[in-house]
Amino acid sequence: MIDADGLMLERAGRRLIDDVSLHLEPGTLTAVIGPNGAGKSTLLRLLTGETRPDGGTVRYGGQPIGAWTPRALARRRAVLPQASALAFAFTVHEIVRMGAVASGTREPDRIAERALGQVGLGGFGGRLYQHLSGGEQQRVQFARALAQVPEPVDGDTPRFLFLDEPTSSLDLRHQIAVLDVAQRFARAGGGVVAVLHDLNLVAEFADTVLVLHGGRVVADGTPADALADRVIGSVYGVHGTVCRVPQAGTPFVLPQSRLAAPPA
Amino acid sequence: MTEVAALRRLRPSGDRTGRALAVTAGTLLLALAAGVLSVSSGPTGVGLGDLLTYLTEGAAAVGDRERLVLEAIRLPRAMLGALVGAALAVSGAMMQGLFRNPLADPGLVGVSSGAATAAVVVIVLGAGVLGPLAALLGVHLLPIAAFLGALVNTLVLYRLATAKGRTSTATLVLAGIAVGALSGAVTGLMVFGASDAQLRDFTFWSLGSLGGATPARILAILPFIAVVFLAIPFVARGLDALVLGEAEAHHMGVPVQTLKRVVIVCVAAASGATVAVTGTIGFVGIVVPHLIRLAIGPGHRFLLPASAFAGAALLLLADTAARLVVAPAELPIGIVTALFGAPVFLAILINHRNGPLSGE
Amino acid sequence: MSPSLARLRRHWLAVAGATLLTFGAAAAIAATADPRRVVSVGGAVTEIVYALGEDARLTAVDTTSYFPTEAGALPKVGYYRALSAEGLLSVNPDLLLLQDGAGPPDALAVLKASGIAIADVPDEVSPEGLQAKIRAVGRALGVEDKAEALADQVAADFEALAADVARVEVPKRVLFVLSLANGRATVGGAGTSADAMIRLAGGVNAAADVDGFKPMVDEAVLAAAPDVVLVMARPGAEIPATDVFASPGFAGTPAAEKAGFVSMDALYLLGFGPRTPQAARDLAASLYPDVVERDAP
Repeated sequence: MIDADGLMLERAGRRLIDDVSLHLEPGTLTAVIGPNGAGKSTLLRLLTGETRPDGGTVRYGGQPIGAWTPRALARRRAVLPQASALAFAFTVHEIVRMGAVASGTREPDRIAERALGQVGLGGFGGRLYQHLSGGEQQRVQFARALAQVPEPVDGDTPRFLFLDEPTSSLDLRHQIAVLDVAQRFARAGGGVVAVLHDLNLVAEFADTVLVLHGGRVVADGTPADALADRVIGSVYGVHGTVCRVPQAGTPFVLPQSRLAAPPA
Repeated sequence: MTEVAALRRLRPSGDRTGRALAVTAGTLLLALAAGVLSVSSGPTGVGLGDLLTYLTEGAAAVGDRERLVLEAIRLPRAMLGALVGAALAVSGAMMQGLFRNPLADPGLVGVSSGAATAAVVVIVLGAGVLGPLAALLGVHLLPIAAFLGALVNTLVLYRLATAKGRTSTATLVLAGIAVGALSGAVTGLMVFGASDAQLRDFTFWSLGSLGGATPARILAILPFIAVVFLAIPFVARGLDALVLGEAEAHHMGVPVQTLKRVVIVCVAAASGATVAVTGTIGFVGIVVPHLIRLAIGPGHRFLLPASAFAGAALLLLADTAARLVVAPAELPIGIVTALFGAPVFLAILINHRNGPLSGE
Repeated sequence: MSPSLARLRRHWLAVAGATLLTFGAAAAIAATADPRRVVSVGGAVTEIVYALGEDARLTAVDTTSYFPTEAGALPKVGYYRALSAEGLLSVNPDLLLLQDGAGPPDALAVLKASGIAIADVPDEVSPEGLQAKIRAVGRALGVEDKAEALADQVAADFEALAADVARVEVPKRVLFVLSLANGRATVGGAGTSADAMIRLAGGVNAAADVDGFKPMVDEAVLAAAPDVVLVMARPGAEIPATDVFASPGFAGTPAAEKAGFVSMDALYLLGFGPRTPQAARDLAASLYPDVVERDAP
């Protein structure tokens, strides 16, 4: 269970995060959406303890995040960052194993291999990370994060996965596959927070959606509630893009449909 | 080797532990062999036979001259060479891990020049302003001062070259030049103001080779180098994670700030201790870790000890060559390591020209 | 050496010495009264050995010993400040002649412990210092009589030169230029061997205000107003007069006007060896051709 209360972060006189409070439930996949510069990655950095807020608190299981040692925190949550280049030639296995070791497991090799299998990279262990494509690198990093929280629930403590744009370099099939793994992690009792840009994927996989704009939460709820045309229109400045498939009631976003919509 | 092969079969693909173990053991053997070679060769012609007699039948079994050469000249020298070579290679590997950059080397980016400047300050001011300190610390003053000089330059360099947890090679190199130039200026100032006697001391120091090996000096730098070696198991995993990025290391439970402080102190300690005794010896810190990484990958758990052994071996071999090539005179060892190291350094540059360098 | 550094070094030497004490006592290579295998370290010391006619006993020399030419053909034990203990041992010397300033001290400590006889030769840049140097070498080689004769000869030559120089009415200002890098001159100030030579030759050191060898800015060179620029030539490395007078500081000096320029071999000029009286006379003759004869009367 992660609680944030009144988070505020200021840089160069600008409020990047402005009075954000939220409650992350285990068993749910929370999507964080919003336009570029809305503060999505910044919020993630505050929630994972990477950045200290200028105001407000983040609590893991009721304890302020500052009271956790880095090592203990690493066993409660894993983070998939946006793409990063490596200066040294680690193999895929070595990278994923680092995550497994951070989880505190006694079988880092087995955990690492399983995580690689989960992201569809079984057999890639011997390859050099630098020689992989951007999409493959992103999946390796995802596997590393998975290996760090190998079981969604540790005893009776849920673990959390923070994913910063996990699908940005992936093709359609792997976008779905990665979110599928994340969703299963949540179904099994873990918590997932993902920054996403593809609103269709949000609509399909998220349990709750957090819409961020100018550092503030402007909408919060189920995809059906949060992905309203009113919200999307005001946040992204593009109106009439949200449509609904009548039978299931699932919204979907079709950029082209804006051409048919009446001017806002 | 069959055990290694069996180990490899049991381990998942991409795991290089087996090879790393074998290579580390190999570098250890190489260092031991280089040590024997170093102790059993030299211009006096006291050789392996004398060494074996000395070891098996005791010191009394060899002549006084042989005993003098083995005990008073070659053994301290080999010990100092092994320590210095290992310290240079390990501090190079640590610094490269800290900066996430294979080209970061204490000798190249101004850390050693900070140590050198401090050493010169001690040599020149040792009589005056620093007199009481010199009286108090004696033989330990020079290594301590060199350590502090190296520490200051490492900190300044880190502040200058690292922004948001990333180090750009260009900034690193430029900051290194600036820091080195500033240190050089202070050194120049000191030399300018020095008396002839101080200049002579300075010359002795700056021409420094492993020839200055005495038990006292080895003991004076041993604590600094021991700290670095003892730190290896504690920093290895953190440095691995740091390769992925500072934030990533933090996410994986590494206390990043503490790690960085420990590594900076280690780099400064190793650079300071070696510079204080042997002057600046280049390229060992960059070439050895690079070659080891080629063999076993960048994992610091084995990279650091294997670099230590290989660094010791390299310096012992270089010193043996330095003593034999122009005997009865000897070449400055820095020349030998540069002759070997500069081409390898160029090869690294060319290799990386097309590939990504960290932080760019 | 500074006192505290001396203390620091003594500490090193004490520990090294303690380790080595066992060797000194039992050394098989005992000092001999009549050394046959001599290593000479220091250009002037080597010259003295030759001047004493004892060169047959030389086994090796350091790299600053390049006169006479035969000395250059002997095995070289390296630069006199960077000697190698084992390298020196390997030529099996029974006597080491060490000019003051040879080192490093640690290498010398090992050699002392080995039982090899070591003679420290003082190196003071004065006529008396040169005589002391000659006597020290003579004592070490067991040829005190020959050394005394040579020292007397040197003293007589210096006296003759002093008498000649006393007739100089207007002494010239001489600036010794050690090096000229990027147009910046490093000059010889007070206390240097160059200063001593200029005074012996009846000149006035134009750089007497600075201590030791120091760089001098153009304006200071102009202010020093040398009548003659003195440079040294090493085998294969000379500073040509055109280079000196092309730099702005020198162009406006009396020396540039009157083409006052003297170039002499480095060891000959600054070595303070047996040729020094003649070198000083040569310099004086260059400065005052009308007063001093190149050949001693």
